[in-house]
Amino acid sequence: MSSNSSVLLEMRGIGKTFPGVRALHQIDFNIRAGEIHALCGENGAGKSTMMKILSGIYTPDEGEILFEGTAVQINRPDIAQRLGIAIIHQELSLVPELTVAENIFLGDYPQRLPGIVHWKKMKREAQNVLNEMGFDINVDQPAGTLGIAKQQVVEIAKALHRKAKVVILDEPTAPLANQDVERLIELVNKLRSENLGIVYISHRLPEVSRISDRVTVLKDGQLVTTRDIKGLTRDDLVKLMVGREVLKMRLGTVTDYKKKVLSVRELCTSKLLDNINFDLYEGEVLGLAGLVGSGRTELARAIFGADSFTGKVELHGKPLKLKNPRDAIQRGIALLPEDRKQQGLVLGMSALENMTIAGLDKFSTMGVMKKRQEREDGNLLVQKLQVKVSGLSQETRTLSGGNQQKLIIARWLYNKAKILIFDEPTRGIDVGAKSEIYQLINQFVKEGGSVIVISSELPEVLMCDRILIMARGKMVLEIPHAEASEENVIQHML
Amino acid sequence: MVKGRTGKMKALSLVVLATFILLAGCTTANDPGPNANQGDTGNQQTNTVSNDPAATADNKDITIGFSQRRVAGSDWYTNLIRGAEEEAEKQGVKLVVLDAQGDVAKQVSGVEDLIAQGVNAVIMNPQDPSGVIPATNKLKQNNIPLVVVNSNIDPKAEAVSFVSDDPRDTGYKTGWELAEAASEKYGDTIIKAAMISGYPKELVSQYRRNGMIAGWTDFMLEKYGKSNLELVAERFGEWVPDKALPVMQDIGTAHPDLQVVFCMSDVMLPGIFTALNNTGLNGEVLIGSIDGTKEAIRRIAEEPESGLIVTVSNDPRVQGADAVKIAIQVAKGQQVPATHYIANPIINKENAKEMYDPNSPY
Amino acid sequence: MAQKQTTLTAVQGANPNYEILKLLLKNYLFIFLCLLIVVCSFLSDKFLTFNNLTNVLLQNSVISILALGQLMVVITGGIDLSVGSIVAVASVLSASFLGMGLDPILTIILVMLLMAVAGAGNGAAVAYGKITPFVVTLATLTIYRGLAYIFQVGSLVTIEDKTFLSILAGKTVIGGIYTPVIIMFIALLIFIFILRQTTFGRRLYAVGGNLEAARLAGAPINRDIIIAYAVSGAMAGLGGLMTTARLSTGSALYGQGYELDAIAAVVVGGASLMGGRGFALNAVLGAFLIGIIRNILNLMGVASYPQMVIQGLIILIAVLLTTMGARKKA
Repeated sequence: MSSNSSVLLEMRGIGKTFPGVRALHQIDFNIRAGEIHALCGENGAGKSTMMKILSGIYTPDEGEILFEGTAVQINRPDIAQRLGIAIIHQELSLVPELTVAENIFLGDYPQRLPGIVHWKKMKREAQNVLNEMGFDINVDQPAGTLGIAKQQVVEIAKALHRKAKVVILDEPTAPLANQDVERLIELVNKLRSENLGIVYISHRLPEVSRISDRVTVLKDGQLVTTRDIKGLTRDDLVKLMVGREVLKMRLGTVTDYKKKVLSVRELCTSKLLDNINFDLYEGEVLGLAGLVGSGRTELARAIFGADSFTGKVELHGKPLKLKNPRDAIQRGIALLPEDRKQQGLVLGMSALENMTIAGLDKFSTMGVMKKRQEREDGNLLVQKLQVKVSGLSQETRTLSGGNQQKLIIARWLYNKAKILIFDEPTRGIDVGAKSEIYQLINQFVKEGGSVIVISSELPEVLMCDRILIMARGKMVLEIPHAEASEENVIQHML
Repeated sequence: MVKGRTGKMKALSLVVLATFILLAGCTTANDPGPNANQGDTGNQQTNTVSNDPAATADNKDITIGFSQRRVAGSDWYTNLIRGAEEEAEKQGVKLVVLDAQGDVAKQVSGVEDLIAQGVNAVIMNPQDPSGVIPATNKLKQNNIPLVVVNSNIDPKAEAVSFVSDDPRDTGYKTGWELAEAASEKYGDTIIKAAMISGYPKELVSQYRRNGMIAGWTDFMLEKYGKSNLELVAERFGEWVPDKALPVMQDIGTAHPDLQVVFCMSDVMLPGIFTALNNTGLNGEVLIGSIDGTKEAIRRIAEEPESGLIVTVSNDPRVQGADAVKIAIQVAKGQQVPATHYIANPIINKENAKEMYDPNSPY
Repeated sequence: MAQKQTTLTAVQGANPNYEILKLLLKNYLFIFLCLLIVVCSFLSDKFLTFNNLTNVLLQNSVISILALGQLMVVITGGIDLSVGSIVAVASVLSASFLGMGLDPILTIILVMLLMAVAGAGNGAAVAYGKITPFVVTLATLTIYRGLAYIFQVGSLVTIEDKTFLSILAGKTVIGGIYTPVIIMFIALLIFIFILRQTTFGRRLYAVGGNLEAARLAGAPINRDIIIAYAVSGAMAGLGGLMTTARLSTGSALYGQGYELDAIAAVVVGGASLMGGRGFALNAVLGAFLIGIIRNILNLMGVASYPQMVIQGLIILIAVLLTTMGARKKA
């Protein structure tokens, strides 16, 4: 603990208003040297606006920022960099074609003569930085060939090379597998011991409680509290963020396994999947666990007709031909992809258009749309699913992750889907919206639907009726809810 | 309304060439037409090549190679070859035509093939003035004389003769004839004229334009002792009717008192007629043009109300035929002019009826 | 309305000034065009004459029609460079068909169908061949131009068919307004309808906005892409027919560079070459903006070289305004 150590960076009374939205209001915040300061809050609470102010992307409307005791104006990203504030974004910003060393030194290559790069020195120093961090990464490798975890390490190395004093990590563990999370946490602890100030933004509350010294909670652009993490339980944190208690969830509650809806036999793909067999029952929520690369997503895409495969898929006992997603959609199978922005939504279209894109025939005759009916249907869906939009024509890009996910759920409900395949249903979604998504899943199965939940978050998988575990393209084990525990699931995933 | 078919000619090749330049980013291709030698007025010029009927007997043994830069996409080139082939048949010589398809390398290797076949003379329409030098060097080594037709060539090639049209002279004749018609209609008042050229800074366009203005001015100076030309607009129709159309239309709108249009090529005439129609200037404006296509001749003969006064011939078939005649003379060791400009008769209302051949391919 | 029924987030009542700004930006092109017309009327007293205005409408009707087809392709995230060459093929074919004594109406329909097939060829290469649209249509630009030359040799005929000429280039009852202008307005209305009111139009925006998301939402993406290119081909065919009729002659020389004019119109009209954005009315306004600039420069007698520079600069300014508008709206 270092509660008496010096304050590196301080924000006083910061406010920022966008047209129509007050994003931040009177925020006080500080980071001390040698501490990990967690920043929590639901999506839209103001975390990213705050970070953008610190990194010089936005200029605050009011308030002041002090860096090591002197007032500073951070109105350009390069000023933030010069001060020693580094931000590691969720979307990493490495140049994939350049080597690790080049990425670390990007923009200030060591030079032999003006204009002549000192390659040897650059490589040596890059290697040193990485070694000090305790990572063994080949600095000659193109950054794009590294896994996501190592790319993150390179990003941090880049920050360290630039003598950063404050490192802001935005959802660093979201894309990582469990063992990589551990290594990252080690690294962050190491940075703390070297007296850096670390801002740690995460939705994963267990991590937050485990590693941080202090926590600041934001809600709707307002500061809720800043306090030591000590003595704060996970439930307390959630309560602070959401402003209410969150129920312990259980997904599905099917009692009888009588009505088989979907049965998959000997499913193989040329790349990964090897002889997959399983059944899905009416009213069931089936959890699918496995490491990244175990074949979970590939299986989902195959059943949805998005990728080709060999083997048999039967729906209600009848063989299903799946040439493309349209075949699956027509039979009531729906996929909610892991990467909503790339695969789920057309971000430039309105909320309404994204909800109705798969069900255009529901409000059209001979290809001509009845837009009034579309709006009416859209309004019903928005109400039913409690989607927070300023209007049906709000651009989807501007919605939070939870609301974006709700739009896709609405799309499939509108399309009368019977089987929903969720790939990472709550990735990038804050706590409050998370439980709403769970409630929607429960409501869906109660009405006779079936759901497959693919998730990297074990608690989420453990909530399901049945859990299937995949590893290296094979189905390894099936566990009923009652017998499932984190330990035995992890054991089989590896 | 415009009737009849569009004649196609040299301009076509230019436009195709321009497209090619745009597509390939190639900047080396030259314009078919005038060459550097044209300034040498000291060179002998004849408009007709004399035939030596006595010589026809031994023509049987003569083989002439014709290396053409490109044929596809250009009716003008097609007619150039046609003229050469017809002349060869008439003269009883063997003519071997090779199409380089717009590729300098292909043209060079084509000439090598002609040498291997033992031709007595080579006619070449070069794709590139200097790019074909390797081929002309081989000709020199084998003592095979070279006649260049249509597109100019580097002096290093040491061609025996260059056969082409004379764009300044055709322009001059158009300008003179148009001035004559204008002086009859308007007298010595200031006359407002528009010029529709091919491309900016392009040699053929510039030569034809300068020729037209010189011809007009000379006529007026001779008749009235003063020049009365007011050029209100100079625009570019890119040698095609659909590009000439909007340009002419805007000029017509801006200058409802327009009296004369200088048109660089018969190909652009349909666009000009449509534009004058749309701006209500049809019948008012006198038009002079160049190329002597069938359609332009027909209009002069049959539709005086169109306003077309004159076109001056630039017939690819004559270029082809004259090139063959000169090549035969060269093959026989006779003296030939270093530069030979083809005949470019004027076609106006006096002779249009006789000149019109509805079956002409040009 | 939606606002009342949905749960509002942090929106605390929109600022009225901001609303006006938004409205201005949304209609920037129309405003820009009106300003241009006012400026032009001061620059030349010939500009605001009935004759000139009908001329401007007539001159730009072909490019506007090409721009509408182009827009459809651009919305899918593609580009169609082959339209200029298709204009030439359509011109040569229509002259040949009429020369063979084919019925003029049938000729028009047949040529447009054939050109739709030519366009569908582009679309199929893009959708199934997975070749970049730029490359596909760059290749067919050459191929179709070559075909036009091949079809033309020895088959050119005078077009004297009264029906053909009066449908595609005749005067209407409204004196001075020619049929191409009417055809263009009808085409514009049809395109506005297709893009705004049909499921196909909606899917086009989705395909261009996010191809993978559209596919995973069950959109028949390949079919839609092919149809978009086929429509572009058919519109280029129509443009070719209109050009042919105006000049009463079919020629393989027509249409050179029209593809760039059409793309410029679409871009000035605010469509994104990345796909997913663009409006039919704006594409036509874009075409007219460029056309009016050319017209006024010609009326003022500005020489050709500075004209090119000015025209390019104004296109840049228009696009700059467009992107600014888009950014503010986001």
